[in-house]
Amino acid sequence: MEDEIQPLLNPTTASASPSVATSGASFTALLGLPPNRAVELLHEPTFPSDPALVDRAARFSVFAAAAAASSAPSPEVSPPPPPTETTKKRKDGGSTNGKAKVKKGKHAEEDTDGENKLPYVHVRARRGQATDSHSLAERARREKINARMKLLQELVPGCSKISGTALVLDEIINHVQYLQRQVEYLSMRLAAVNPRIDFSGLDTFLSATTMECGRLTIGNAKVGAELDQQQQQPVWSEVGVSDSDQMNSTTNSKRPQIQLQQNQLQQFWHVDLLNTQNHLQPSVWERDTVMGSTAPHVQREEQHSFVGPGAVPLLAFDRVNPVAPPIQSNQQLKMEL
Amino acid sequence: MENPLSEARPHSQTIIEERGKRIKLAAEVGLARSSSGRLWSRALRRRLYRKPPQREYIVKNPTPPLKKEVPLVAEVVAGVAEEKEEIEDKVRALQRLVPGGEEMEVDRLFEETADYIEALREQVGVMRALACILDGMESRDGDKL
Repeated sequence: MEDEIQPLLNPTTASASPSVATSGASFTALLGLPPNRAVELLHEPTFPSDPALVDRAARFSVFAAAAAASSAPSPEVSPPPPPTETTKKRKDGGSTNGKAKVKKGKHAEEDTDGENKLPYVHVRARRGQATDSHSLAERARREKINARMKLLQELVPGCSKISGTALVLDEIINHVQYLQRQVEYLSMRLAAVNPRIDFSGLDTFLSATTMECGRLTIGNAKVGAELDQQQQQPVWSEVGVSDSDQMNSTTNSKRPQIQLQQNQLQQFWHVDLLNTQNHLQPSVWERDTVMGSTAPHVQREEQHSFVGPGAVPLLAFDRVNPVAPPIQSNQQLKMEL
Repeated sequence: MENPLSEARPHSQTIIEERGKRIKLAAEVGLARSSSGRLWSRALRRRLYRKPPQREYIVKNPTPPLKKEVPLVAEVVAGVAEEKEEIEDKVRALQRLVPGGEEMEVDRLFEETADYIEALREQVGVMRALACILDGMESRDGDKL
C-alpha cells in the first residue's frame, strides 16, 4: 500500500490535516488518523467503515480510479451505498480464512457497484445469509417482533425467567385474561356495595381517574363530560334498566366536573373518611357548571374534614332539582345507578 | 333482554348484576379513554358504542385473523413444525383477547398488548382503591342510615 500512498503524498502534504500531531508514518499523516487506526487500516485491504474516512478514501484511494465510471470524485461511488453492509461482508471476504468468503466478498462488491444509488439498509448480514432486499426486510421484521416480545416479557411478571416462545406467550395470555377477570370481579364487587350515594358519576370518575393515573391530565373536563353524555346515552339505554325513567333523569342531567389533578388523587386515597351523612347538602356538593377551580371545593370539604376533592365526582347530583333536601336525594339515589 | 332465569332469583340479585354490568361498561369506557391513540382503544370504543348485536343484520363474516402473519411469526421464533402450530394458536388466542387484535399484524399486536396490559393494570388499581374506599364508607355509616 505504501507504493500507492507515495505519489499521493506530495500533493497532499500541503492539505494534510493540521490536527495531525504525530510525525509518524506518512500514512497517518495523510489520513489524519491516530496511529492505532492507521494500523487497523493497513491490515485491511478494504474500505474503512467510518464514513468520513470513506469519504477521504474515496477521493484519494485507488478504488476510486477503478470505479471511474462516474469520473467525478463524488463520494457516492466509492463509499458504496450500503456501507455498513458491504463493509461487513468485505471484511469477511477480505480475511484470508477461506475461499468461499473471499468469493462472497467479491460478489458483494460487484453487487454494490451495480446498485449505486439505493438507500442504505442497516442490517447486518451474517455469514452465509442471503443479502437481497427481500430477506433483509424479513430479517428486520423478525428482529422487530423479537424486540417487542422481549418488551412484553419484561412487562409480565415472572416472564423473563421463562425461555421458549410458546411458554412466554402462554404467560402473556394468562396475564391478560387475569387482568380482564379482575375488572369483571371488581365491577361486581363495586356493584354490591350498598349505595348511599349516587353512582351515576361513577363512569366518568372511572374514566377520569384512569386517565389521570395513566396518561392525561384533565384540565377542562367539561368538554369531556359533555362528550361523555352524548356518547353515553346509547350505552345506558341499551343495558336493560329496571327503573329506567329515574335512571335516565339522573344520568342525563348530571354534569360531572372532574377536576382531579394527580396530587389531589393521591390525597384522596390517604384522607380519612368520615361520616358522609352530614355533608350531603347540595350546596356543598353541587358542582358549578362554570369550570371554577377546585379550590372552593377543597376548602369546603376540608372544613368538614371529609374526603378530599376526589370525592366530588362520586356524587353527581341532579341539576334538575338542585335544592332537594339531602334526605330526599338520598332516597332517590339509593338503589340507582 | 332479560334472562328468563333472572326472575327466579331475588330482586336484589338482579339489581346487583345489572349494576355490575353498568360498572363494567363504565370501566371499559374509562379504559378506552385512557389511551386514545391506540388501536386497541379505538377498537374497544367501537365495540362499546356500537348498536347491540340483536338489532344488526346478519353479521358479515368477520375478517379472519391474518393467516399470512401468524405462520410468519411462528417461523420467526421457532424452528420445529409442531412448535410453529402451537405458537400460531397462541398468537391467535392473544389476538382474540386484545380488542381489535384480529386485524393487527403480529408486531403491532405485541406492541398493543403491552399497552393494553398497562392500561388494564391502571384500571384495576383504580377500581380496587375505589372499592376499598366505598367499603370503608359503608362500614362506617352502616348503622347510621
